[in-house]
Amino acid sequence: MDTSPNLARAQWMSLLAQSDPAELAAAMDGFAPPADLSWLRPAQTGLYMLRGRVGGSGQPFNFGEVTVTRCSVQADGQIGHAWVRGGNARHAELAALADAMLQDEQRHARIQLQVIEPLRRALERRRDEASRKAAASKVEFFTVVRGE
Amino acid sequence: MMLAAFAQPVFDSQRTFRELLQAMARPALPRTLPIVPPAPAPIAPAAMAILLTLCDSATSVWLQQPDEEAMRHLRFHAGVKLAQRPEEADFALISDPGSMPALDVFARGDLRYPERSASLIIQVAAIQSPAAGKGGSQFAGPGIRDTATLHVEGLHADFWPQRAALAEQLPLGIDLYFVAAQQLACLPRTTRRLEG
Amino acid sequence: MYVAVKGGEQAIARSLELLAEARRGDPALPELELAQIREQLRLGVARVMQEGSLYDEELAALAMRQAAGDMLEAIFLLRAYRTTLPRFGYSLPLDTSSMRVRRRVSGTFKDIPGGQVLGPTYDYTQRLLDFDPTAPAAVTPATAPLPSQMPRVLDLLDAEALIERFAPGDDAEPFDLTREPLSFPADRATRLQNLARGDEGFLLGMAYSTQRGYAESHPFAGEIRMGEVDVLVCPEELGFAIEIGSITLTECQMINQFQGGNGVPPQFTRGYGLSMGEGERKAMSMALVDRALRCDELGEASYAPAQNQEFVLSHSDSVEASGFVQHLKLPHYVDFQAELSLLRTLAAQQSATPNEQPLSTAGEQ
Repeated sequence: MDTSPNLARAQWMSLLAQSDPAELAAAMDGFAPPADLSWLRPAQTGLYMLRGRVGGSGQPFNFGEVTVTRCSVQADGQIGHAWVRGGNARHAELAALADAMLQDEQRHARIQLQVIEPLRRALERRRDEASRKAAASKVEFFTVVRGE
Repeated sequence: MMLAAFAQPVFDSQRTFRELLQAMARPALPRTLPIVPPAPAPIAPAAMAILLTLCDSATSVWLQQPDEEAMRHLRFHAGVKLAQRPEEADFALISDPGSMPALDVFARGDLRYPERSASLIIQVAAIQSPAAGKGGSQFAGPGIRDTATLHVEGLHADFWPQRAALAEQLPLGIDLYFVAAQQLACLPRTTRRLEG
Repeated sequence: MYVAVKGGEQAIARSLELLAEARRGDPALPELELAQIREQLRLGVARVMQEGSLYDEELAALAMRQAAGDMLEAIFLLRAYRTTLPRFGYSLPLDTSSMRVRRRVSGTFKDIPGGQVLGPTYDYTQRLLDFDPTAPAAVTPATAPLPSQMPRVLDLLDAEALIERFAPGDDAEPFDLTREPLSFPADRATRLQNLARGDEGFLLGMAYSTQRGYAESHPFAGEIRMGEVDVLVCPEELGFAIEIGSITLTECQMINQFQGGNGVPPQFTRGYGLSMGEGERKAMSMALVDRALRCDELGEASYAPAQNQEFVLSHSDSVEASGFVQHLKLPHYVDFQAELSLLRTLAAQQSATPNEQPLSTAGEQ
């Protein structure tokens, strides 16, 4: 995750996975599918074993599993991959397609502008609202002076 | 460019598994694999069907001819670990049987865990069941009524003597899948080859 | 032992139909939608995911509906389903310190950086049945969000280093109970995996016993936090790590007074609990039992059931427990006949000896 092309790709792949599938589908709707398209590894749901750490910071332990759907597509010479939590095959297909198209220099800027940026803003908005709602239940302690 | 694997991974591997089960239950009887997926050389499509069906991230595979493209393909589609040495392999793919290692190199299991042994997928020139008196070897054992005749083309001269030597170690041993084009025939460790 | 008994096929088919009919209830009422279960019974969904050991809200909701609300049956369904799915790999360890916190309380430190956040909790309800629930008022968000990073209270506020610390160490591959059977003694990572899958009721009872004196336990809830955590995986095809989504987790850091022993100086030691979704009771119970099971490592006297790992770990799993208890319903006709004839023989022998008083009348004609 140190080299910058991989870092940039890791960031958009993460965002595509974290996005709302309906919003992703709507954002991708405006793009014609690549002419030369083959599903290298069709969407398939499987498991990852989640790992925690003892005490939150110690040795790893196996905590329980999570469903993950993965998909790989070859589109106009680019190979796009996706791993998304849950069992939504369409989410994985769209994320893999977007990953392939983002690696294509001709398409990169438009996808970045019309898919990635709006999805990032939507995700940030949702997270900000959830955090501010939680913050509304923050306890403010008053120190009560006792005695004479 | 990368190749795809089974078009419908779940259903295709289930159908292939059923054939493999049947082929192991009825040794020395050639069967036709229902689906052969694309495969990069030196892996034959029929061998790829078996690897995709039986192997996953909990299985180690050794390639006799470790081609870079083939290894990438296997890792990607089957998620397998590739074994560096034949003795570490759960499955070994023999793409050039004329120069394959001696059979006693592969894992035969131990008495507590005889299943911790290797299965060999051997790509041969041809497999046939010749009519009586028309050549081939006679086999007997569980799953065969009386005897079965099978001709496997492309093995080196020491192959059958090496396999006969392993038979004394039952229940330890190795299991064999022969493939040629879309044909498959199995010889589990319990199948004996009759001399003469 | 039980033997196969033929002849029940028709009866079984009708029983399955009766079950389906009973599950559906009055067909004049609309069928429960999975989204309704997921949204309105979220704590039930969390429990089924946690003990079913599979984070998937849709599947857990489906299991709850199919099991007609029987949580243990739903957990069993989810456990059975997971065996049909391929395992792609292991996630990177979850980083709960970068949780997007929605609840965070401490029973030991009043002023914690970032503050105590109550979030959605039943703690302050009056437990009065609400016969006329009105639509809830929308919460007005605060002007500022919570800090994006909330360090662990225990690491932050322990200036005197009187609370035990955990370092990742060499990140040894942990034992995986879904691949290898449990054996004793089990190390802490294995115990935590077992407790994570364990039945909440069983662990709650065990945890309660440690508080009532059946273990040397003087616990405080150091920190409880709940919120969303990113899941990261590093697929071999990529060679770098990516987020695949987020999950809701509840984490409990329990601290216990410890007088010192086995080379460890007097300090507060820690028990750890982690649960999928909002699972505070489970996480707290798990943390208490985790701490009690460390008795050998810390050189404590071990006499209580909650300190006995063979007892706790062998009986924590509801799928195993309910299977073994309920298998008694299956035909045991041959066993019973064998025992019956043994008792008849014994009774006959006894009545043949006139000066002995028969203990029962089981063998009398």
